Amino acid sequence: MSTAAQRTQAPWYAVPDVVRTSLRGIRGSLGAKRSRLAFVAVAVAGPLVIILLQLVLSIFSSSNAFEIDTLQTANKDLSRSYIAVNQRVSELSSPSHLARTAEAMGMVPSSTPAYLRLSDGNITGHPTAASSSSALMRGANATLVPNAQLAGAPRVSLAGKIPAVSVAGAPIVGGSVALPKQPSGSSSISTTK
Amino acid sequence: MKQPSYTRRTRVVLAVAIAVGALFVARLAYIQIFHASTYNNDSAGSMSSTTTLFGTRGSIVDSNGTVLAEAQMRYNVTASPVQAENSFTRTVNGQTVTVTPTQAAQEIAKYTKQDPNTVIGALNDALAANANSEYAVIAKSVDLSTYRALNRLNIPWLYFEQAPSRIYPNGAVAGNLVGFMGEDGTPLAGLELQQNKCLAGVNGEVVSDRSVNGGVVIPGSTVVTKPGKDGGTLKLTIDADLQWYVQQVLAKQGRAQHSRWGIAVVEEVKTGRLLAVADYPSVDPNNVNGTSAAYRGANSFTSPYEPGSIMKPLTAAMALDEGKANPFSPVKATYSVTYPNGANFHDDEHHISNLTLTGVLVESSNVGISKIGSRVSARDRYNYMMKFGMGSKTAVNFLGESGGIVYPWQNWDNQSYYTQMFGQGFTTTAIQMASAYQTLGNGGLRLPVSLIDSCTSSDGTVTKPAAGTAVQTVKPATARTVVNMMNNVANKAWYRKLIAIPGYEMATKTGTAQQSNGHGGYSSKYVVSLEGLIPAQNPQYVILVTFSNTDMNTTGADAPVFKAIANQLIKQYRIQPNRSNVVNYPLTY
Repeated sequence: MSTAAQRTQAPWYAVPDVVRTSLRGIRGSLGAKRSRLAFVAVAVAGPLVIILLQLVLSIFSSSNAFEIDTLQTANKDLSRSYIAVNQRVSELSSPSHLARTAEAMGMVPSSTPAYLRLSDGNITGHPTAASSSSALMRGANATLVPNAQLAGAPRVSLAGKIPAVSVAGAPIVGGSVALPKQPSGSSSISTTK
Repeated sequence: MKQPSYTRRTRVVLAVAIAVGALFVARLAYIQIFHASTYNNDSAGSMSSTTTLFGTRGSIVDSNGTVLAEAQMRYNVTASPVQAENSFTRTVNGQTVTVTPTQAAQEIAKYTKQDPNTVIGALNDALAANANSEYAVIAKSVDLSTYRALNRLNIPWLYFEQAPSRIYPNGAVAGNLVGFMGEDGTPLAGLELQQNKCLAGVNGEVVSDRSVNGGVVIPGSTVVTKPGKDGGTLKLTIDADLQWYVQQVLAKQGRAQHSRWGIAVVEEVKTGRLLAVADYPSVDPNNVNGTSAAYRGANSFTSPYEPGSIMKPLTAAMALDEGKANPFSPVKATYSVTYPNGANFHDDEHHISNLTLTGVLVESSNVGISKIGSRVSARDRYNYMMKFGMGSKTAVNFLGESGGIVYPWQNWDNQSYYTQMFGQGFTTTAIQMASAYQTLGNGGLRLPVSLIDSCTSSDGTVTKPAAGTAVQTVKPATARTVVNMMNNVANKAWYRKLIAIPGYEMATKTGTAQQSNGHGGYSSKYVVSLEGLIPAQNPQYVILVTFSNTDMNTTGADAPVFKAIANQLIKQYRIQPNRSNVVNYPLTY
């Protein structure tokens, strides 16, 4: 085999034969040695660094995975609570519950609509005080439009901290129409306990 | 000099590389070919898992956005009976406690509100069927708080499945319209079933890799294999507050009068929108079994009946529109009549006989209206009935809606040729009668009845249901005059004091109709109706109240409900008092 042939067959990593080709003597030879060393260092250190980085990253990501999972579970749990609480609000604000609560506090629907015109204080219509007979939700009537979701909903009791309202004789002043007195039976509006 | 050393080194490196490579290949073959099935089995389930992304079913809301039906996640409680056979330990206050299967079952039953033996029975039955049973259902569809309490028990053989379900926050309010769903999530009735296409969500699937220990999702491994889609929101024309009020007053009177059934309808005159459609009794979709099967739907749409005398204003409108009568037209309204064709009938009560057409309506004279109405030919009357919307379903096209039965005029027998004019011999639904009065209130223009406002899909696309066509049924002047006559009825008929609201004018008509006794004859108990428009001068709302089999057996049973609804409309929609422009017609000649 000729040298030339061997040189052409030399693998890609073979360092060129600088001794033979260089006319600059030792300096070039030293430089070549240094570059070869650097090459080896990079070739060895590079993969090492990559492996280390990958290791560190995967440790971080897998330790975060547990944290993410915990947070996601907490998030899911909280959004479930949010939905459940919201649904409870819409149940409690349903008209039948509001009406029942209002009547428990001594209110009844007004039976004679009337308007007070703010510009001149005139009353249109014929305002008449509502009587306890216009109560809609008394006794068994309270569940005529049933709502199974309201089972266990809080019932208003007037024996609580807020003092009960006296229904009789709350005077309404002004206007040209005399308001009749509250019927005497109206103070007997029962409260739900 | 150095070339041989290169060659040698190269060969050694190559040999080592090939050896290592071969080792890898051998191991690969070992894993992938010889033991592939073992590893596949091991990996399946423990590493990669598929989760269902539930497409949330859309809500049904009223015209103001109040939720009438919405999705709620519930949980099925399941167990692995084969694991449940053994006791397990639990740490309580630093002490290890052994929990026997029976104790665990008692703990579960406390929260699922079952008999502990039901829980134990479910486990034993599963084990009896299969000694290695891994699955038994303990309780279905438990709520969030129960699920959480059970989960905190840390029973190793207890498992949970998500079970999408449905909640109706307003209970029976519009329950007759909204319908309900089965425990398995199948829509069974009402709009839930009919509008399922709008409401239904599509479930998706997500696959993710999980750690063997604890089943934690490995970041970046989640792949949505099938995207899901949430259902749309169905918006109704109903006003939930008004609907509740109407249902409540209807039910209160229905109960007091021991009525078999009752219907109340409120329709907006200028739009044809239904604001309230109440049925008594009605269903609470949260508790379907609490109502008997006959009253779980909307009889207002599905059950036609003979309307009775609330038909008379329509007959008067036909005669007026054809120029055959006016409010002052005199008629000899005797107590009974026999027509040349043999038809004969009489009025409910005796009254003075020299009535005008207005007087005929005030006294509700069958004889009087038949004498005036028969001035219009049967064919024309039939055509008017069609134009008033009888004989065919309304534009709502509710699930199971009926159009009532009106026989072609050629087939009318001698009796029904006359009785049709006062609402006997044909049937309509309550909604059809509301629509007919809407026509009178709206200058003779019958608008398509609507119950559904729109469907908004999860991507925000709004779809309106196909609007029907408006029909000019009678001339505007005819409609106006008929409403004036009905205003005279409201102010002069026997029940005027039962419905009067100071400051307001109404236009009304009552109807007492016979109904079948189920044995081919008529029952002694009537279907009593009171229908009208408020305010009379410029009608905004149709109110219809109907009861069957009341103690009073007269339209007096309807009056308090009619008045209460009118009051509520005045308050809720701020109708100003107005007594001007009242037209006073004479009742006698």
